Amino acid sequence: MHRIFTQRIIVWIMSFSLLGTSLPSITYAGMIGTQTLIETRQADNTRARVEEFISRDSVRDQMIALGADPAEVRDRLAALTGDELRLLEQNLDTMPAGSGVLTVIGIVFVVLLILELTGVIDIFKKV
Amino acid sequence: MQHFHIRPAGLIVVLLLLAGGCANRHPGLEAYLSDSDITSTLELRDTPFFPQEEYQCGPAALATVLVASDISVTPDELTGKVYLPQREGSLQLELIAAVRRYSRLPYILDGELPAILSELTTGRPVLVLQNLGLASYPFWHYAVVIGFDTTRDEIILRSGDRQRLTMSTRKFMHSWELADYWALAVLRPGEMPAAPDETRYVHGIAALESAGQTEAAALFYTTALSLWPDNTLALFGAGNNHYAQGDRASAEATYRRLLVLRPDHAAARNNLAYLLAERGCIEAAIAELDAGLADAGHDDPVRQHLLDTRAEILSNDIAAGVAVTSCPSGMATPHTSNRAPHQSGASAR
Repeated sequence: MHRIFTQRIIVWIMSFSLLGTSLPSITYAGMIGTQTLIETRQADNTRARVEEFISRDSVRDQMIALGADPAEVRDRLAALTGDELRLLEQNLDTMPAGSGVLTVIGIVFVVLLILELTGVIDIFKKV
Repeated sequence: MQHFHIRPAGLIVVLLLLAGGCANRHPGLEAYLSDSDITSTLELRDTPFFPQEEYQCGPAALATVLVASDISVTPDELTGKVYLPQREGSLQLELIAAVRRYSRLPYILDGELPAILSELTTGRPVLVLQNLGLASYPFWHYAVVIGFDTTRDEIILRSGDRQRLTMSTRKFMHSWELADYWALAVLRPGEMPAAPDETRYVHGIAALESAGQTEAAALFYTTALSLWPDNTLALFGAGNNHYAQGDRASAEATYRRLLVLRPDHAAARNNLAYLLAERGCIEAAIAELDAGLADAGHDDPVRQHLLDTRAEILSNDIAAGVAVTSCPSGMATPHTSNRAPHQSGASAR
C-alpha cells in the first residue's frame, strides 16, 4: 500500500514538473475552456488536468507497446478528450479493434480444413 | 469405426456454430420503415470505394466516409493515424480522433437502424462496427453502409474488398447488435445529423474544438444555436470560440446572453470578467466575479477559479498598460442570488 502511495506521489510531482511543457494550451490563462467545464467534476481543476496528463502518458505507452509509431502517437491522442483518454486507458486491451473479413475467411478455412481432416465434411474431394 | 463417433459430434458443433450465427430475433427491413421520410430503396452509388488491404478495414472504411465528406485522403495516409499493429486493427476512439483531425465532427448515431437510414436519406454514408463472429469469439470489422433495398430486404455496404456487399437486414442487424450497435456519421462543418441529440451534438462540438479545430467548431456552434438558441453549453462554447478567434465583442455579447438565461453560470461570469479586465474595466470585472461568487455554491468546482481570477485582476496583471475604453458601469449583467431554474436540455455539466 505504502509503496503504491509513494509511487503515486512521485508520479504527481513528475507530472507537475512536466505540465508546462506537455499540456496542449487550448484556452488562455484565466479563461475556463468549454471542454474543461464539461469535464470538471472535482473542485480541483489542476488535479483533473494532471490526471488527464497521466492518462495521456499511460495510453501513449500502451499504444507504443502495441506497435504504434512513437512519432505519431502524440498527435493521435491530441484529438481525444480527457474522458475519452480515461476510457482508452482503462479498456485499451479489451476494446474492439476492427480488422477485417480477411481474418474471418482465414478462420473459416481452418475450421473447414479441420472438419475435412476429421472426416465430418467432404468438400475438398477431387471430382 | 472411430469416424462413426466423430461425425455426429462434429456435426453438432457445426450446427451450434450455425445456430449462433443465425439465431436472430431481428425483423426485416420493412419493420424499420415506419417513418414516412424514409424511402423504400436508396443507394449512395457515388460513395468512394477503397478495397482494404490486410487487416486495414479501419483506414479503408474511414477513408470512405471522409472522402464522401469532401476530404481528400487515402487509406494509406490514415493507417499511421488509426492502425494498431499488435491488435491488427483500429479502435473506435481512434477513428473518432482521426475524424476530428480532418475538421469533421464525428457523431455517434443512436443504436437503431432508422438512425442509419435517416443519415443515408440526407446523403451521408455511415461507418459501422460489426462483429462477424460470435459474441464469445468476435471478429470485429468496420464497413460503410451506403444503402438499403426494401424489396430485397437488404442492407448495402462497402465492406472489405467488396465494393458492393449486400447483407440481409436480419444478418446485418445481428452482426451490428454484437458490436453494440455502433455507428458513426461524419459531419461537415455546420452540418446537423438527421436526428440530432442536443447534448451529444454540443459535447461533440466542444471535443472538436479542444482538438484544435476552432474554425470548424464555430460553424457547428452556429448551427447548434440556430436549433437550440437557449442551450447554455453551446452559448458558453460559442463565447469561448469568439474569444479564441479574437472577436471580443461577440464573445462578450454571447456571455451576456448566456447570463441572462442563467445568472448563476459561474464559468460565464469568470470568462466575462476576464474579458472586461483585459480591456481595463476592472470595476465591472470585479462586479461580475462577485456576482458569480455570490451564486456559486461552496462545492462548485468553478468557485476556486473565480477567486483566482479575482486575485489576478486585482494584482493588475491582466490589464497592465491597457488604455481603458468605455466600460459598462458596475455590473451590467443581471444577477440573482436565488438559484435560477435550470434550462431544459444540456446543462453545463
